[in-house]
Amino acid sequence: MEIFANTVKGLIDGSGFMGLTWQNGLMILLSFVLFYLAIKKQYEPLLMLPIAFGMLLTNLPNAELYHSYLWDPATNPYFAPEYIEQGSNVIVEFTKHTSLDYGRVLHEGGLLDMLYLGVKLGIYPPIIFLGIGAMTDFGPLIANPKSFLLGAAAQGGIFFTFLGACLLNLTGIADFTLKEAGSIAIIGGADGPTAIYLTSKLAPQLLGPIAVAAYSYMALVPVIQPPIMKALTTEKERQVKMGQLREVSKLEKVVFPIAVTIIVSLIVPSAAPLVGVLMFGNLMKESGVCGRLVNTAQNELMNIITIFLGITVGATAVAENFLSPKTLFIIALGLIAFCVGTACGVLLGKLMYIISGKKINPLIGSAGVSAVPMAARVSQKVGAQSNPSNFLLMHAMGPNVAGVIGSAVAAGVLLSVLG
Amino acid sequence: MNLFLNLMSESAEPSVIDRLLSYTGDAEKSVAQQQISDPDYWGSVGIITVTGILVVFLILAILIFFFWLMGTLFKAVDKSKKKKQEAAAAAKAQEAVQKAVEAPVVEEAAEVEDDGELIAVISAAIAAYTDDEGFTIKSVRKHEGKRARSAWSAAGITENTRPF
Repeated sequence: MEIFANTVKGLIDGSGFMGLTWQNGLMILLSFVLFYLAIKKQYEPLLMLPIAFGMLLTNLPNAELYHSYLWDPATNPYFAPEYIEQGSNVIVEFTKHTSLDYGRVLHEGGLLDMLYLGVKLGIYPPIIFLGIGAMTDFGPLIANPKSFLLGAAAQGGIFFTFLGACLLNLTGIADFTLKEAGSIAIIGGADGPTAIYLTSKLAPQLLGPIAVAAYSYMALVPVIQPPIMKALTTEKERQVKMGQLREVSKLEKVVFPIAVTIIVSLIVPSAAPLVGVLMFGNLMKESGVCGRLVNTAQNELMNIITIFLGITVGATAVAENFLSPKTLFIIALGLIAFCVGTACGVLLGKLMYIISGKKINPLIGSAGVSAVPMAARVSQKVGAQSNPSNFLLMHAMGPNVAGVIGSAVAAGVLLSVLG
Repeated sequence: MNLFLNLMSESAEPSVIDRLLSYTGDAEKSVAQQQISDPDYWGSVGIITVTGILVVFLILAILIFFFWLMGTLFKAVDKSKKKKQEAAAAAKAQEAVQKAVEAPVVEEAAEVEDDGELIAVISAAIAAYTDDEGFTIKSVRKHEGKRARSAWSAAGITENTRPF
Protein backbone atom coordinates (compact mmCIF):
# COMPACT_ATOMS: atom_id res chain seq x y z
CA MET A 1 0.00 0.00 0.00
CA GLU A 2 2.83 2.31 0.87
CA ILE A 3 4.54 1.52 -2.39
CA PHE A 4 1.35 2.45 -4.25
CA ALA A 5 1.02 5.74 -2.36
CA ASN A 6 4.65 6.60 -3.05
CA THR A 7 4.24 5.87 -6.74
CA VAL A 8 1.19 8.08 -6.98
CA LYS A 9 2.99 10.83 -5.06
CA GLY A 10 5.97 10.51 -7.38
CA LEU A 11 3.71 10.81 -10.42
CA ILE A 12 2.01 13.89 -9.02
CA ASP A 13 5.32 15.53 -8.11
CA GLY A 14 6.71 14.78 -11.54
CA SER A 15 3.67 16.09 -13.36
CA GLY A 16 3.71 19.45 -15.06
CA PHE A 17 1.12 20.92 -12.70
CA MET A 18 3.56 21.03 -9.81
CA GLY A 19 6.18 22.89 -11.85
CA LEU A 20 3.75 25.31 -13.46
CA THR A 21 4.56 28.94 -12.74
CA TRP A 22 2.49 31.97 -13.73
CA GLN A 23 5.18 32.83 -16.29
CA ASN A 24 4.76 29.46 -17.99
CA GLY A 25 1.01 29.90 -17.91
CA LEU A 26 1.24 33.32 -19.51
CA MET A 27 3.55 32.01 -22.23
CA ILE A 28 1.14 29.17 -22.97
CA LEU A 29 -1.68 31.70 -23.29
CA LEU A 30 0.54 33.74 -25.59
CA SER A 31 1.07 30.70 -27.78
CA PHE A 32 -2.73 30.51 -28.05
CA VAL A 33 -2.74 34.07 -29.38
CA LEU A 34 -0.22 33.02 -32.01
CA PHE A 35 -2.37 29.99 -32.87
CA TYR A 36 -5.22 32.42 -33.46
CA LEU A 37 -3.06 34.63 -35.67
CA ALA A 38 -1.81 31.62 -37.64
CA ILE A 39 -5.05 29.69 -38.06
CA LYS A 40 -7.77 32.32 -38.09
CA LYS A 41 -5.89 35.33 -39.44
CA GLN A 42 -3.47 33.24 -41.54
CA TYR A 43 -0.43 35.40 -40.73
CA GLU A 44 2.39 33.44 -42.41
CA PRO A 45 0.78 30.26 -41.05
CA LEU A 46 3.50 27.94 -42.36
CA LEU A 47 5.92 29.44 -39.87
CA MET A 48 3.65 30.99 -37.28
CA LEU A 49 1.95 27.72 -36.41
CA PRO A 50 5.19 25.77 -35.79
CA ILE A 51 6.58 28.76 -33.83
CA ALA A 52 3.47 28.87 -31.68
CA PHE A 53 3.59 25.13 -31.04
CA GLY A 54 7.27 25.28 -30.17
CA MET A 55 6.43 28.02 -27.72
CA LEU A 56 3.73 25.85 -26.17
CA LEU A 57 5.99 22.79 -25.86
CA THR A 58 8.92 24.65 -24.38
CA ASN A 59 6.80 26.23 -21.66
CA LEU A 60 5.28 22.97 -20.46
CA PRO A 61 7.10 22.33 -17.19
CA ASN A 62 9.07 19.11 -16.79
CA ALA A 63 8.56 18.20 -20.42
CA GLU A 64 12.31 18.64 -20.89
CA LEU A 65 12.11 19.27 -24.62
CA TYR A 66 14.28 22.36 -24.63
CA HIS A 67 16.82 23.60 -22.09
CA SER A 68 17.74 27.24 -22.35
CA TYR A 69 20.70 26.83 -19.98
CA LEU A 70 22.41 24.57 -22.51
CA TRP A 71 22.45 27.40 -25.03
CA ASP A 72 24.00 30.10 -22.89
CA PRO A 73 27.80 30.16 -22.71
CA ALA A 74 27.48 31.56 -19.19
CA THR A 75 25.78 28.41 -17.91
CA ASN A 76 27.25 25.90 -20.36
CA PRO A 77 30.78 27.03 -21.18
CA TYR A 78 33.21 24.98 -23.17
CA PHE A 79 36.45 24.02 -21.47
CA ALA A 80 39.09 23.19 -24.03
CA PRO A 81 41.69 20.67 -22.85
CA GLU A 82 45.35 21.50 -23.25
CA TYR A 83 47.92 18.76 -22.88
CA ILE A 84 51.19 19.80 -21.26
CA GLU A 85 54.03 17.31 -21.07
CA GLN A 86 56.11 17.43 -17.92
CA GLY A 87 58.78 14.80 -18.13
CA SER A 88 56.96 11.51 -18.33
CA ASN A 89 53.71 12.98 -17.06
CA VAL A 90 51.08 14.66 -19.14
CA ILE A 91 49.08 17.33 -17.38
CA VAL A 92 45.72 18.32 -18.72
CA GLU A 93 44.66 21.93 -18.27
CA PHE A 94 41.28 23.23 -19.19
CA THR A 95 40.80 26.74 -20.51
CA LYS A 96 37.36 28.29 -20.51
CA HIS A 97 36.14 29.38 -23.94
CA THR A 98 33.37 31.77 -24.84
CA SER A 99 31.64 29.13 -26.95
CA LEU A 100 29.15 26.48 -25.91
CA ASP A 101 29.88 22.95 -24.80
CA TYR A 102 28.09 21.08 -27.56
CA GLY A 103 29.02 17.74 -25.98
CA ARG A 104 26.83 18.58 -23.04
CA VAL A 105 24.01 19.55 -25.41
CA LEU A 106 24.19 16.09 -26.96
CA HIS A 107 24.29 14.38 -23.57
CA GLU A 108 21.55 16.27 -21.81
CA GLY A 109 19.47 17.77 -24.61
CA GLY A 110 15.84 17.00 -25.36
CA LEU A 111 14.18 16.65 -28.75
CA LEU A 112 13.97 20.37 -29.43
CA ASP A 113 17.55 20.90 -28.26
CA MET A 114 18.67 18.48 -30.94
CA LEU A 115 16.65 20.19 -33.63
CA TYR A 116 17.80 23.59 -32.40
CA LEU A 117 21.37 22.65 -33.31
CA GLY A 118 20.38 23.41 -36.90
CA VAL A 119 19.48 26.98 -35.97
CA LYS A 120 22.41 27.53 -33.64
CA LEU A 121 24.94 26.20 -36.12
CA GLY A 122 23.41 28.26 -38.92
CA ILE A 123 22.15 25.36 -41.04
CA TYR A 124 18.42 25.89 -41.48
CA PRO A 125 18.24 29.48 -42.76
CA PRO A 126 20.66 28.87 -45.65
CA ILE A 127 18.73 25.75 -46.65
CA ILE A 128 15.52 27.79 -46.73
CA PHE A 129 17.41 30.25 -48.91
CA LEU A 130 18.31 27.36 -51.22
CA GLY A 131 14.61 26.74 -51.77
CA ILE A 132 13.89 30.44 -52.19
CA GLY A 133 16.65 30.67 -54.79
CA ALA A 134 15.18 27.70 -56.64
CA MET A 135 11.82 29.46 -56.76
CA THR A 136 12.93 32.99 -57.61
CA ASP A 137 13.06 34.42 -61.09
CA PHE A 138 15.71 37.14 -61.16
CA GLY A 139 14.71 38.04 -64.74
CA PRO A 140 13.06 41.39 -63.86
CA LEU A 141 16.17 42.38 -61.95
CA ILE A 142 18.51 41.43 -64.79
CA ALA A 143 16.32 43.31 -67.26
CA ASN A 144 16.43 46.42 -65.09
CA PRO A 145 19.57 46.40 -62.92
CA LYS A 146 18.70 49.85 -61.55
CA SER A 147 16.26 47.98 -59.31
CA PHE A 148 19.23 47.02 -57.17
CA LEU A 149 19.35 50.61 -55.90
CA LEU A 150 15.80 50.36 -54.59
CA GLY A 151 16.65 47.05 -52.93
CA ALA A 152 19.57 48.77 -51.22
CA ALA A 153 17.61 51.86 -50.16
CA ALA A 154 14.96 49.82 -48.42
CA GLN A 155 17.67 48.40 -46.16
CA GLY A 156 17.90 51.90 -44.68
CA GLY A 157 15.29 50.74 -42.19
CA ILE A 158 17.78 48.24 -40.76
CA PHE A 159 20.47 50.77 -39.98
CA PHE A 160 18.04 53.41 -38.81
CA THR A 161 16.64 50.91 -36.33
CA PHE A 162 20.12 49.95 -35.18
CA LEU A 163 20.65 53.59 -34.32
CA GLY A 164 17.18 53.74 -32.77
CA ALA A 165 17.81 50.74 -30.51
CA CYS A 166 21.04 52.33 -29.29
CA LEU A 167 19.29 55.66 -28.70
CA LEU A 168 16.61 53.88 -26.71
CA ASN A 169 19.33 52.94 -24.24
CA LEU A 170 19.72 56.63 -23.42
CA THR A 171 16.24 56.76 -21.96
CA GLY A 172 17.29 54.20 -19.39
CA ILE A 173 14.19 52.03 -19.82
CA ALA A 174 15.84 49.61 -22.24
CA ASP A 175 19.28 48.21 -22.32
CA PHE A 176 20.28 46.65 -25.57
CA THR A 177 23.83 45.59 -26.25
CA LEU A 178 25.29 46.34 -29.67
CA LYS A 179 24.74 42.74 -30.72
CA GLU A 180 21.12 42.87 -29.64
CA ALA A 181 20.60 46.17 -31.44
CA GLY A 182 21.97 44.62 -34.64
CA SER A 183 19.65 41.62 -34.31
CA ILE A 184 16.59 43.78 -33.74
CA ALA A 185 17.50 46.02 -36.65
CA ILE A 186 17.54 43.10 -39.11
CA ILE A 187 13.75 42.80 -38.69
CA GLY A 188 13.71 45.73 -41.14
CA GLY A 189 15.14 43.40 -43.77
CA ALA A 190 11.68 41.80 -43.88
CA ASP A 191 13.31 38.46 -44.47
CA GLY A 192 12.62 35.69 -41.96
CA PRO A 193 15.56 33.36 -42.62
CA THR A 194 18.04 36.26 -42.65
CA ALA A 195 16.68 37.61 -39.37
CA ILE A 196 16.88 34.17 -37.74
CA TYR A 197 20.37 33.55 -39.10
CA LEU A 198 21.79 36.83 -37.81
CA THR A 199 20.01 36.66 -34.46
CA SER A 200 21.13 33.10 -33.80
CA LYS A 201 24.70 34.30 -34.25
CA LEU A 202 24.50 37.64 -32.41
CA ALA A 203 21.79 37.45 -29.76
CA PRO A 204 20.20 33.98 -29.60
CA GLN A 205 18.31 34.89 -26.42
CA LEU A 206 16.15 37.24 -28.52
CA LEU A 207 15.39 34.71 -31.23
CA GLY A 208 11.79 34.13 -30.13
CA PRO A 209 10.57 37.74 -30.04
CA ILE A 210 12.53 38.72 -33.15
CA ALA A 211 11.19 35.83 -35.23
CA VAL A 212 7.64 36.47 -34.08
CA ALA A 213 7.95 40.19 -34.83
CA ALA A 214 9.58 39.62 -38.23
CA TYR A 215 6.98 37.13 -39.42
CA SER A 216 4.05 39.12 -38.03
CA TYR A 217 5.12 42.28 -39.79
CA MET A 218 5.80 40.38 -43.01
CA ALA A 219 2.23 39.16 -42.87
CA LEU A 220 1.11 42.72 -42.21
CA VAL A 221 2.95 44.22 -45.19
CA PRO A 222 -0.36 44.88 -47.06
CA VAL A 223 -1.54 46.87 -44.04
CA ILE A 224 1.67 48.68 -43.07
CA GLN A 225 2.95 49.74 -46.48
CA PRO A 226 0.08 51.39 -48.43
CA PRO A 227 -0.45 54.40 -46.10
CA ILE A 228 3.28 55.20 -46.18
CA MET A 229 3.40 54.78 -49.96
CA LYS A 230 0.42 57.03 -50.48
CA ALA A 231 1.67 59.67 -48.06
CA LEU A 232 5.00 59.98 -49.81
CA THR A 233 3.82 60.03 -53.44
CA THR A 234 1.48 62.23 -55.45
CA GLU A 235 -1.42 60.88 -57.47
CA LYS A 236 0.43 61.80 -60.66
CA GLU A 237 3.50 59.82 -59.63
CA ARG A 238 1.43 56.78 -58.78
CA GLN A 239 -0.15 56.82 -62.23
CA VAL A 240 3.15 56.51 -64.08
CA LYS A 241 3.13 53.55 -66.44
CA MET A 242 6.41 51.79 -66.98
CA GLY A 243 7.54 50.36 -70.33
CA GLN A 244 7.79 46.69 -71.13
CA LEU A 245 10.81 44.94 -69.60
CA ARG A 246 13.25 43.56 -72.14
CA GLU A 247 13.52 39.85 -72.63
CA VAL A 248 16.33 38.16 -70.72
CA SER A 249 18.23 35.33 -72.36
CA LYS A 250 18.94 32.03 -70.64
CA LEU A 251 22.68 32.68 -70.67
CA GLU A 252 22.19 35.89 -68.69
CA LYS A 253 20.06 34.06 -66.15
CA VAL A 254 22.79 31.45 -65.74
CA VAL A 255 25.57 34.01 -65.42
CA PHE A 256 23.63 36.05 -62.83
CA PRO A 257 23.81 33.67 -59.82
CA ILE A 258 27.46 32.88 -60.44
CA ALA A 259 28.44 36.54 -60.74
CA VAL A 260 26.44 37.64 -57.69
CA THR A 261 27.98 34.89 -55.58
CA ILE A 262 31.51 35.86 -56.55
CA ILE A 263 31.05 39.62 -56.19
CA VAL A 264 29.15 39.55 -52.90
CA SER A 265 31.24 36.84 -51.26
CA LEU A 266 34.51 38.56 -52.13
CA ILE A 267 33.41 41.84 -50.56
CA VAL A 268 31.41 40.57 -47.58
CA PRO A 269 32.49 36.96 -46.97
CA SER A 270 30.16 36.67 -43.98
CA ALA A 271 27.18 37.05 -46.34
CA ALA A 272 28.33 34.02 -48.34
CA PRO A 273 26.33 31.37 -46.45
CA LEU A 274 23.09 33.15 -47.30
CA VAL A 275 23.80 34.70 -50.70
CA GLY A 276 25.91 31.79 -51.93
CA VAL A 277 23.25 29.20 -51.20
CA LEU A 278 20.46 31.42 -52.52
CA MET A 279 22.34 31.72 -55.79
CA PHE A 280 23.12 28.01 -55.85
CA GLY A 281 19.41 27.27 -55.73
CA ASN A 282 18.81 29.78 -58.48
CA LEU A 283 21.55 28.34 -60.70
CA MET A 284 20.05 24.86 -60.34
CA LYS A 285 16.74 26.29 -61.52
CA GLU A 286 18.04 28.42 -64.36
CA SER A 287 20.45 25.84 -65.70
CA GLY A 288 17.48 23.60 -66.42
CA VAL A 289 19.53 20.45 -65.97
CA CYS A 290 18.82 19.70 -62.30
CA GLY A 291 15.05 19.34 -62.43
CA ARG A 292 14.90 16.73 -59.67
CA LEU A 293 17.17 18.68 -57.32
CA VAL A 294 15.21 21.87 -57.90
CA ASN A 295 12.02 20.03 -57.14
CA THR A 296 13.41 18.76 -53.84
CA ALA A 297 14.86 22.14 -52.85
CA GLN A 298 11.59 23.95 -53.56
CA ASN A 299 9.30 21.45 -51.93
CA GLU A 300 10.28 18.62 -49.61
CA LEU A 301 13.57 19.99 -48.32
CA MET A 302 12.19 23.44 -47.72
CA ASN A 303 9.09 22.10 -46.01
CA ILE A 304 11.08 19.84 -43.70
CA ILE A 305 13.40 22.65 -42.72
CA THR A 306 10.51 25.07 -42.25
CA ILE A 307 8.99 22.69 -39.71
CA PHE A 308 12.28 22.29 -37.82
CA LEU A 309 13.05 25.99 -37.96
CA GLY A 310 9.62 27.09 -36.80
CA ILE A 311 9.26 24.72 -33.91
CA THR A 312 12.77 25.32 -32.56
CA VAL A 313 12.62 29.09 -32.91
CA GLY A 314 9.35 28.93 -30.99
CA ALA A 315 11.08 26.76 -28.39
CA THR A 316 13.59 29.50 -27.62
CA ALA A 317 10.71 31.62 -26.35
CA VAL A 318 11.01 30.44 -22.76
CA ALA A 319 9.36 32.64 -20.16
CA GLU A 320 12.54 34.14 -18.72
CA ASN A 321 13.66 35.37 -22.15
CA PHE A 322 10.32 36.37 -23.58
CA LEU A 323 8.54 37.98 -20.64
CA SER A 324 10.65 41.07 -20.40
CA PRO A 325 10.13 44.69 -21.45
CA LYS A 326 12.68 43.98 -24.18
CA THR A 327 10.06 42.03 -26.12
CA LEU A 328 7.77 45.06 -26.26
CA PHE A 329 10.63 47.26 -27.44
CA ILE A 330 11.55 44.70 -30.08
CA ILE A 331 8.01 44.69 -31.40
CA ALA A 332 7.94 48.51 -31.51
CA LEU A 333 11.41 48.79 -33.09
CA GLY A 334 10.54 46.12 -35.64
CA LEU A 335 7.55 48.15 -36.79
CA ILE A 336 9.74 51.25 -37.08
CA ALA A 337 12.25 49.25 -39.10
CA PHE A 338 9.55 48.16 -41.54
CA CYS A 339 8.10 51.64 -41.91
CA VAL A 340 11.45 53.37 -42.39
CA GLY A 341 12.56 50.72 -44.87
CA THR A 342 9.39 51.23 -46.91
CA ALA A 343 9.79 55.00 -46.77
CA CYS A 344 13.46 54.86 -47.84
CA GLY A 345 12.53 52.69 -50.82
CA VAL A 346 9.69 54.98 -51.91
CA LEU A 347 11.84 58.10 -51.47
CA LEU A 348 14.63 56.70 -53.63
CA GLY A 349 11.92 55.68 -56.09
CA LYS A 350 10.84 59.33 -56.16
CA LEU A 351 14.39 60.43 -56.83
CA MET A 352 14.64 57.94 -59.68
CA TYR A 353 11.29 59.18 -60.98
CA ILE A 354 12.72 62.68 -61.23
CA ILE A 355 16.09 61.63 -62.68
CA SER A 356 14.58 59.23 -65.20
CA GLY A 357 12.29 61.94 -66.57
CA LYS A 358 9.11 60.55 -64.97
CA LYS A 359 9.56 57.08 -66.38
CA ILE A 360 9.89 55.20 -63.08
CA ASN A 361 6.92 54.77 -60.79
CA PRO A 362 8.09 55.47 -57.22
CA LEU A 363 5.67 52.84 -55.90
CA ILE A 364 8.02 50.04 -56.92
CA GLY A 365 10.52 51.36 -54.33
CA SER A 366 8.56 50.00 -51.40
CA ALA A 367 9.01 46.47 -52.78
CA GLY A 368 12.71 46.80 -51.93
CA VAL A 369 12.02 45.49 -48.42
CA SER A 370 12.22 41.81 -49.51
CA ALA A 371 9.03 40.07 -48.21
CA VAL A 372 8.77 38.32 -51.59
CA PRO A 373 6.31 38.47 -53.30
CA MET A 374 3.95 40.23 -50.91
CA ALA A 375 5.65 43.64 -51.15
CA ALA A 376 5.63 43.53 -54.96
CA ARG A 377 1.93 42.72 -54.91
CA VAL A 378 1.32 45.71 -52.66
CA SER A 379 3.08 47.96 -55.21
CA GLN A 380 0.90 46.50 -57.95
CA LYS A 381 -2.25 47.01 -55.92
CA VAL A 382 -1.57 50.58 -54.87
CA GLY A 383 -0.56 51.43 -58.45
CA ALA A 384 -3.75 49.90 -59.82
CA GLN A 385 -5.84 51.99 -57.42
CA SER A 386 -4.54 55.16 -59.06
CA ASN A 387 -4.60 53.80 -62.57
CA PRO A 388 -6.50 50.53 -63.09
CA SER A 389 -4.70 49.81 -66.35
CA ASN A 390 -1.30 49.97 -64.70
CA PHE A 391 0.68 46.77 -64.20
CA LEU A 392 3.63 47.31 -61.90
CA LEU A 393 3.99 43.74 -60.66
CA MET A 394 6.91 42.67 -62.83
CA HIS A 395 8.64 46.03 -62.35
CA ALA A 396 8.25 45.69 -58.60
CA MET A 397 9.64 42.15 -58.63
CA GLY A 398 13.04 43.62 -59.56
CA PRO A 399 13.48 45.66 -56.35
CA ASN A 400 11.75 42.88 -54.45
CA VAL A 401 14.32 40.20 -55.26
CA ALA A 402 17.10 42.80 -55.01
CA GLY A 403 15.84 43.35 -51.46
CA VAL A 404 16.53 39.69 -50.63
CA ILE A 405 20.13 40.11 -51.75
CA GLY A 406 20.31 43.51 -50.04
CA SER A 407 19.14 42.26 -46.66
CA ALA A 408 21.47 39.26 -46.83
CA VAL A 409 24.34 41.67 -47.52
CA ALA A 410 23.23 43.92 -44.65
CA ALA A 411 23.14 40.89 -42.37
CA GLY A 412 26.64 39.99 -43.54
CA VAL A 413 27.88 43.50 -42.74
CA LEU A 414 26.35 43.42 -39.24
CA LEU A 415 27.76 39.96 -38.67
CA SER A 416 31.27 40.92 -39.71
CA VAL A 417 31.29 44.08 -37.57
CA LEU A 418 29.47 42.76 -34.49
CA GLY A 419 30.01 39.01 -34.69
CA MET B 1 38.61 58.81 -39.50
CA ASN B 2 40.96 56.92 -37.25
CA LEU B 3 38.00 55.05 -35.83
CA PHE B 4 36.79 54.31 -39.33
CA LEU B 5 40.13 52.82 -40.35
CA ASN B 6 40.18 50.87 -37.14
CA LEU B 7 36.82 49.40 -38.02
CA MET B 8 37.75 48.48 -41.54
CA SER B 9 41.19 47.06 -40.91
CA GLU B 10 41.85 43.79 -39.19
CA SER B 11 44.85 45.11 -37.30
CA ALA B 12 46.52 43.21 -34.51
CA GLU B 13 45.43 45.88 -32.02
CA PRO B 14 41.89 45.27 -30.86
CA SER B 15 39.64 47.90 -32.44
CA VAL B 16 37.23 50.11 -30.57
CA ILE B 17 34.35 47.88 -31.53
CA ASP B 18 36.17 44.78 -30.34
CA ARG B 19 36.67 46.52 -27.02
CA LEU B 20 32.98 47.40 -26.86
CA LEU B 21 32.01 43.83 -27.65
CA SER B 22 34.39 42.38 -25.07
CA TYR B 23 32.46 43.75 -22.09
CA THR B 24 30.93 40.93 -20.12
CA GLY B 25 28.90 42.83 -17.55
CA ASP B 26 29.13 42.70 -13.78
CA ALA B 27 26.91 43.02 -10.74
CA GLU B 28 26.65 46.80 -10.99
CA LYS B 29 26.33 47.36 -14.70
CA SER B 30 24.93 45.20 -17.47
CA VAL B 31 26.83 44.70 -20.72
CA ALA B 32 24.75 47.36 -22.44
CA GLN B 33 25.37 49.88 -19.67
CA GLN B 34 29.09 49.23 -19.78
CA GLN B 35 29.08 49.68 -23.54
CA ILE B 36 27.12 52.91 -23.40
CA SER B 37 29.43 54.45 -20.82
CA ASP B 38 32.41 53.85 -23.11
CA PRO B 39 33.52 57.21 -24.55
CA ASP B 40 33.69 55.76 -28.07
CA TYR B 41 30.21 54.24 -27.96
CA TRP B 42 28.33 56.80 -30.02
CA GLY B 43 31.16 57.14 -32.50
CA SER B 44 31.10 53.41 -33.10
CA VAL B 45 27.33 53.26 -33.40
CA GLY B 46 27.42 56.08 -35.94
CA ILE B 47 30.16 54.43 -37.92
CA ILE B 48 28.47 51.04 -37.95
CA THR B 49 25.30 52.70 -39.23
CA VAL B 50 27.01 54.73 -41.93
CA THR B 51 29.39 52.01 -43.12
CA GLY B 52 26.52 49.53 -43.12
CA ILE B 53 24.46 51.63 -45.50
CA LEU B 54 27.46 52.51 -47.63
CA VAL B 55 28.64 48.91 -47.98
CA VAL B 56 25.16 47.72 -48.97
CA PHE B 57 24.93 50.47 -51.58
CA LEU B 58 28.47 49.86 -52.78
CA ILE B 59 27.92 46.16 -53.36
CA LEU B 60 24.60 46.65 -55.08
CA ALA B 61 26.13 49.46 -57.18
CA ILE B 62 28.87 47.09 -58.31
CA LEU B 63 26.20 44.54 -59.21
CA ILE B 64 24.28 47.19 -61.15
CA PHE B 65 27.37 48.12 -63.12
CA PHE B 66 28.17 44.47 -63.83
CA PHE B 67 24.70 43.56 -65.01
CA TRP B 68 24.25 46.78 -66.93
CA LEU B 69 27.46 45.90 -68.75
CA MET B 70 26.29 42.35 -69.32
CA GLY B 71 22.89 43.60 -70.54
CA THR B 72 24.46 45.96 -73.09
CA LEU B 73 26.81 43.24 -74.28
CA PHE B 74 23.99 40.78 -74.73
CA LYS B 75 21.84 43.36 -76.48
CA ALA B 76 24.70 44.10 -78.89
CA VAL B 77 25.25 40.40 -79.56
CA ASP B 78 21.51 39.93 -80.07
CA LYS B 79 21.40 42.81 -82.50
CA SER B 80 24.30 41.56 -84.61
CA LYS B 81 22.72 38.11 -84.64
CA LYS B 82 19.41 39.57 -85.71
CA LYS B 83 21.11 41.57 -88.44
CA LYS B 84 22.74 38.44 -89.79
CA GLN B 85 19.45 36.60 -89.69
CA GLU B 86 17.70 39.47 -91.39
CA ALA B 87 20.36 39.59 -94.08
CA ALA B 88 19.98 35.87 -94.66
CA ALA B 89 16.21 36.18 -94.80
CA ALA B 90 16.44 39.07 -97.24
CA ALA B 91 18.74 37.08 -99.51
CA LYS B 92 16.31 34.19 -99.49
CA ALA B 93 13.37 36.43 -100.24
CA GLN B 94 15.18 37.95 -103.16
CA GLU B 95 15.91 34.51 -104.56
CA ALA B 96 12.26 33.58 -104.24
CA VAL B 97 11.18 36.75 -106.03
CA GLN B 98 13.62 36.07 -108.82
CA LYS B 99 12.30 32.55 -109.20
CA ALA B 100 8.75 33.82 -109.28
CA VAL B 101 9.61 36.32 -111.97
CA GLU B 102 11.28 33.66 -114.02
CA ALA B 103 8.24 31.39 -113.80
CA PRO B 104 6.01 31.29 -116.88
CA VAL B 105 3.50 34.12 -116.99
CA VAL B 106 0.96 32.09 -118.94
CA GLU B 107 0.09 29.96 -115.97
CA GLU B 108 -0.83 32.99 -113.90
CA ALA B 109 -3.25 34.17 -116.52
CA ALA B 110 -4.80 30.73 -116.77
CA GLU B 111 -5.34 30.65 -113.04
CA VAL B 112 -7.72 33.53 -113.00
CA GLU B 113 -11.10 32.33 -114.06
CA ASP B 114 -13.51 34.80 -115.49
CA ASP B 115 -16.63 32.76 -115.56
CA GLY B 116 -19.66 34.76 -114.41
CA GLU B 117 -21.75 31.71 -113.67
CA LEU B 118 -19.04 30.10 -111.52
CA ILE B 119 -18.51 33.29 -109.54
CA ALA B 120 -22.22 33.58 -108.88
CA VAL B 121 -22.37 30.02 -107.55
CA ILE B 122 -19.33 30.53 -105.33
CA SER B 123 -20.63 33.82 -103.89
CA ALA B 124 -24.00 32.22 -103.19
CA ALA B 125 -22.27 29.35 -101.40
CA ILE B 126 -20.17 31.72 -99.29
CA ALA B 127 -23.22 33.85 -98.46
CA ALA B 128 -25.14 30.76 -97.36
CA TYR B 129 -22.21 29.49 -95.34
CA THR B 130 -21.33 32.71 -93.52
CA ASP B 131 -24.74 34.33 -93.27
CA ASP B 132 -23.10 37.49 -94.43
CA GLU B 133 -23.89 39.48 -97.52
CA GLY B 134 -21.41 42.30 -97.13
CA PHE B 135 -18.56 40.85 -99.18
CA THR B 136 -17.17 41.05 -102.68
CA ILE B 137 -15.25 38.42 -104.54
CA LYS B 138 -12.16 39.96 -106.04
CA SER B 139 -10.77 36.99 -107.87
CA VAL B 140 -11.23 33.29 -108.24
CA ARG B 141 -8.30 31.04 -108.90
CA LYS B 142 -8.08 27.42 -109.65
CA HIS B 143 -6.31 25.57 -106.86
CA GLU B 144 -2.97 24.52 -108.20
CA GLY B 145 -1.73 22.95 -105.02
CA LYS B 146 0.00 19.69 -104.54
CA ARG B 147 -1.67 16.47 -105.45
CA ALA B 148 -5.15 16.30 -103.93
CA ARG B 149 -5.87 13.72 -101.26
CA SER B 150 -7.15 10.39 -102.37
CA ALA B 151 -10.80 9.64 -101.60
CA TRP B 152 -9.69 7.19 -98.91
CA SER B 153 -7.48 9.60 -97.00
CA ALA B 154 -10.11 12.34 -97.28
CA ALA B 155 -12.67 9.92 -95.82
CA GLY B 156 -10.21 9.04 -93.05
CA ILE B 157 -9.70 12.69 -92.12
CA THR B 158 -13.45 13.35 -92.09
CA GLU B 159 -13.95 10.33 -89.89
CA ASN B 160 -11.31 11.42 -87.41
CA THR B 161 -12.20 15.09 -87.19
CA ARG B 162 -15.96 14.90 -87.28
CA PRO B 163 -16.53 15.57 -83.57
CA PHE B 164 -14.61 18.80 -83.86
